[in-house]
Amino acid sequence: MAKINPYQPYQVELLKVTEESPLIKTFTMAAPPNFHFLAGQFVEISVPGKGEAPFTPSSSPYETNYIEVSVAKVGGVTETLHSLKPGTILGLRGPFGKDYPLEKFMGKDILLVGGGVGLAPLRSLFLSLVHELQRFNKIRFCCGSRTPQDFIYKEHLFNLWPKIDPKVCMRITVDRCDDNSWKGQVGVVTKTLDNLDLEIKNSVAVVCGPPIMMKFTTFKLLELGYRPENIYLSMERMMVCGLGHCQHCGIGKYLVCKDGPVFTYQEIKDEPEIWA
Amino acid sequence: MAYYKVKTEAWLDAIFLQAQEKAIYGLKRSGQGLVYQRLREKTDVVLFETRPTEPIKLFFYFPSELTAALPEKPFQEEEKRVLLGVKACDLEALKTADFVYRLGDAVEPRYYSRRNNTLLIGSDCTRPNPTCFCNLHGRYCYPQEYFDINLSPLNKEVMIETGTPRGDEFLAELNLNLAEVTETDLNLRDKNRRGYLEKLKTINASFEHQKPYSEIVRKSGDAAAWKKYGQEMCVQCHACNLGCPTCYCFSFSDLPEKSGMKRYKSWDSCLAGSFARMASGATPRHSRWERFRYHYYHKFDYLNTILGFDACTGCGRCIEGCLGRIDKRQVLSDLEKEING
Repeated sequence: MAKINPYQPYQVELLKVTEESPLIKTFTMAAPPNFHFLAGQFVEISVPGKGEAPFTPSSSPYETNYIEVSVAKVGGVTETLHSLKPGTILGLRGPFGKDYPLEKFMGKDILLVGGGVGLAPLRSLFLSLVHELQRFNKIRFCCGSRTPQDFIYKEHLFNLWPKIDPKVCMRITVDRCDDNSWKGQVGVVTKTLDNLDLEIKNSVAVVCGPPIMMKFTTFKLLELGYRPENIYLSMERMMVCGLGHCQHCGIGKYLVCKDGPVFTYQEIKDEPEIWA
Repeated sequence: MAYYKVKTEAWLDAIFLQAQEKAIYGLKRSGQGLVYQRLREKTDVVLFETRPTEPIKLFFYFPSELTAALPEKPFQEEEKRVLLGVKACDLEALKTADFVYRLGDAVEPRYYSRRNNTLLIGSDCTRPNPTCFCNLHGRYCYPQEYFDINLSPLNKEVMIETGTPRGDEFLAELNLNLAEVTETDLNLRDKNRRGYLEKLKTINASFEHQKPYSEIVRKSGDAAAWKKYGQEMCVQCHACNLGCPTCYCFSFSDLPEKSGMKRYKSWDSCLAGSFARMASGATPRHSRWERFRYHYYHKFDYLNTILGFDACTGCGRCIEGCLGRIDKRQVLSDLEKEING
């Protein structure tokens, strides 16, 4: 019997394009029929005839009508994506990989640490947590960006999310600010991890961002007393097929597309080349 | 499952008769090596000798092929065919490809269809190449499993061993006058096989190693041999990837069409600098030697951990094709010497 072709994309319509920062746009696409993903999983989005690239949705998994991805303009596919207008037909495959294990987060303090476009997967996770806030203890969302202009989801970060619930606390920092417009903290994101007011022993940390930020955040978390199995990392690699076939996304014996992209530090700490 | 014997001429006559209707591929001489050809008119066909120059993966996943399209094109089931004279190293290689493409949660439908529609007739490797080193893996140069039928030479006869019900069915279709195999025949086959292994031992006498290859690679770390071979000698021609029967990595290329696109799946090489490079330009393996090392780690460590055996079958095509004149056996020997201090 012939099998389903897992390399065949669905056709989806681009509904909306939101400019988040000079380099990053959020693309809202109609969700294919019966499409469900969980926070942390990723999808492959293609511009027909141009190419395909992996992205982790930034929208809530509870939203079934549409799916959003935030995309930094860094490569061939992303550059074309940035030029597209609503109404364009895109290709979509997935979801692929493992999600954040929310059942393990229940009753715990949760620390989210994100940098740059790494805030995208954390937004999806944050919206999942907020959806069932009663199941979790405190939530600390530490966000970093190079400059104030580079922040994505500005309206959410600065206005909406801080007011969601007393359990939720946002900590926001920028690497640098060349003028006086920024009144908040200046410094790398690890600076926001001092005086956390969390019960570290009953806490999990989730980190997503550029490799160097993930590396130093992980080391800082270990210093603070987080155990390696309670540090969750969203690993980025070049996931081409999403199915464990093509081998582009190998980290040691693991494949990010199948065994990740969510890993605990405990799982991968002894593998080579993890901080690419 | 069962053993028979038949005159070699009778076997070949029956195969060529079947080849009038079925797609049967056998080995013929080409240059200094062997290649597969579709059998039609009766011609010289090599039943035994050695493995062909080309890896068996060419029959199951192509260097580049259409894999998806928008609008979607219906998927065609592959034609039934028979491969004759497949050597143990190539049969063993299919275990790795099966694990990746056929036995996981997500099946590669073209591979699946091709595998299911291909009957594999193996044969003993009676004349190992100077680059063959299956014995150094503890493997054998005659098929012991993963075939539908296997052939061993017995003077002017062939011994037929069926390995699957599908093999039994095909054998029945050949309408051969099969004879029972005697203990003398089995003893002769085993004696012959010991002789092939002796040839391999002689070929590889200087590459004998104490530790399993997986252990050597796992303990190698940043050994100087990686830099010598990977940085100074490797010219990144990718011949080792292309010729390897177990290498299965690929990339997609999407090409625009009038009203959609065509997606091609093409072999890729872990030695290429672009292989693991992400959109941001970051890559986990900057240097050539790191990528060279990864090639070994993938075959001898990572896949060994998952599969329980090396994803290298010792066919030696990587040595034969290497433009940098790197001999995998020498690399592994040097690594062993280095870790032994």
